[in-house]
Amino acid sequence: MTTSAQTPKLSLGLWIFTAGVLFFLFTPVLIALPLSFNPDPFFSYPIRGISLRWYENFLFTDMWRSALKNSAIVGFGTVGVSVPVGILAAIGLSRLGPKVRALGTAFILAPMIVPVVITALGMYFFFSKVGLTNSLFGLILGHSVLATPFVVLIMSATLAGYDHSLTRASASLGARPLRTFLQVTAPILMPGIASSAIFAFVTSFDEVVMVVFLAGVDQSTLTREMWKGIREDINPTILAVAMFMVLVSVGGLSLLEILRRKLERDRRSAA
Amino acid sequence: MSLHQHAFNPMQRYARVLPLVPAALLLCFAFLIPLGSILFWSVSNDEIRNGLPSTVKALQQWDGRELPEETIYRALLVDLATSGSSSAVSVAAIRANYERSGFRSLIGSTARNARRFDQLNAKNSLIQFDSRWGDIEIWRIIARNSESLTSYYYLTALDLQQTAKGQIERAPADKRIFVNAFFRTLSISMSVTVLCLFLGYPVAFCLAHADPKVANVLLALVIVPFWTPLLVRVAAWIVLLQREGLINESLSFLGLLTRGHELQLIYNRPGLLIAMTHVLLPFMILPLYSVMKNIRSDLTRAANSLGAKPWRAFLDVYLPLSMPGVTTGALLVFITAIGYYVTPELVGGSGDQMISHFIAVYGTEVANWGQAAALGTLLLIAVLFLYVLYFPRMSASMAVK
Repeated sequence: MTTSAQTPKLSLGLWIFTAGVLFFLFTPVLIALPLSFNPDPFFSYPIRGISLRWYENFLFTDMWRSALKNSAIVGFGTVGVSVPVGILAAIGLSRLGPKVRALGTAFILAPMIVPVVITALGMYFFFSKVGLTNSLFGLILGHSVLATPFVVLIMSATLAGYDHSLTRASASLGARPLRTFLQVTAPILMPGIASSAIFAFVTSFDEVVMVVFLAGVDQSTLTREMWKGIREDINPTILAVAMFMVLVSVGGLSLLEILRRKLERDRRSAA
Repeated sequence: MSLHQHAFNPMQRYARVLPLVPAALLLCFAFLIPLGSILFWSVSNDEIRNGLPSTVKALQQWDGRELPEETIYRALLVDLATSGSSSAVSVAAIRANYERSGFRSLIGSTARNARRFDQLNAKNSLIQFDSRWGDIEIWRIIARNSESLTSYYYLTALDLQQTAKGQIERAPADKRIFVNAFFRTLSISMSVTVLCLFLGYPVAFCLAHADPKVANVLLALVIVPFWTPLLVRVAAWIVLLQREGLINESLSFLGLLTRGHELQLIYNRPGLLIAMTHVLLPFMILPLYSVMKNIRSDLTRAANSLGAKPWRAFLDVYLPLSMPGVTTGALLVFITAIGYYVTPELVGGSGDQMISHFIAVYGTEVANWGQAAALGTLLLIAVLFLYVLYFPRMSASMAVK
């Protein structure tokens, strides 16, 4: 008998309530996004047919194209900075004694605690003194600070399941540390690394506050253009962009979930 | 053996922490120094010292009881004449203007005419040029800001001000905006937390105790909205709730509304609460779920078999066991909510702006960095305080996991 089978029966009222809440969580996006296929620039049903004109607008307008390009550059840049930095940090943390490790972890996870508005404000102050506002690199650094804690968390969990005797075996067979890392450690950690990369990319891709504080017109990203559009006058093109962002984020994170499950299965079968 | 340790340990120790260096550098450069610069700007007061150096120096001798003497007026003329309308003077003028409106134009116009004044009769000619130079308050403001540190921004952030004599009093009613904004931030965050708890608890209960296959599907229904980008969710709510939005259109299509009488569902407090609850609800459901999943149901059954009514068993047994999840979820939602910027900015009305809005406005639009920094520091202190207060309980609930 499983635990859940033993619980008192869930009443009908509870189920109806739950269904209502899940409906509340799920439907707004589900109802709004199909309007991006509406041939008319209205937000109402029924729609006359299916049209891709708002998607064309998104893909063939200079403003949206450059925003898409910037989002991609900043997203991949964030992966490029936060993933190596986070992997190394997780390795470093795993070698520390329990007390120092707790302290180090708290330090590295601190950006998750501080509201992004505050971090963004501080970056705006400091970066404008060193010429990093209105620069894609400044944005990459900002997003990396937000993404690195997640990379460290994912990689620490991955490393916890790593068998260190493999490293020693490789070293005793004469492999140098770099070679050991590339040929022994990295392949085992691959699902974790891939998850980190996806998470870092999505974190950057969806981020709004830092972009609003730090980016100038030339660094505008998809989120910044959406932010501007929503503030001024929400139009169907924004829904087309929203659909695109949902596909990237939900797609990426679903992939991550699949990787996580694979990692868990591997670990269980290894143990 | 001991020789071995002495010879190798230091090297090994360095090699050990080496992998932490890149993260430490990144955090220093893009997190610690930025936070430090917020603290710096919240108390920094160099504007008037740098803009009017001779005046500030001359004012050190002044006791502040009567109008300054001739020498101090001359020092002011020196500052304004030598620098012309340099940026240091205009920065000082902007700073002085925070404390008294009109100060900026007073300094500006005086600086433009600085060379025309009678150097030997500076006091009289300045007062003749603009009678405000004969106002002792103006001089007290300059004297008060001769120090390189100030509490002005923190006082303003708490709707307080310093009187001429240095006492602290409440700001005039029309200038009291921040305390209200802080209370509004707390009350909105509190409402959202209560709403999330009310909606989330039963859902988490269902998820935790339903048949695992059903529970997995339901969990996906919670997680996919959680993964949906914030801006997309906010945009969806606007499409639904705005004046020409789906709900109003549907109601008038059904004949329940006449055109021109659409409901105001967004850009007000209820709209903001709906959108924020929608965004933050998964933060409540997920920790609750992970705690409830591990509550052993034989405890509730034991209570039942001992004759407790289901409600009584729930209140006396289940609810206390689920408390760690409630605390973590509530804390997570509340802390996230008090720092919220994007959602209130996009779906709130002008009367629903939270403290982050003012931080952004003062930081990037008005360019009053000191004010933005003081507000930011206070918000940061509030967040850290909550963490310290609840951290033991949070880790307790993590341990339950």
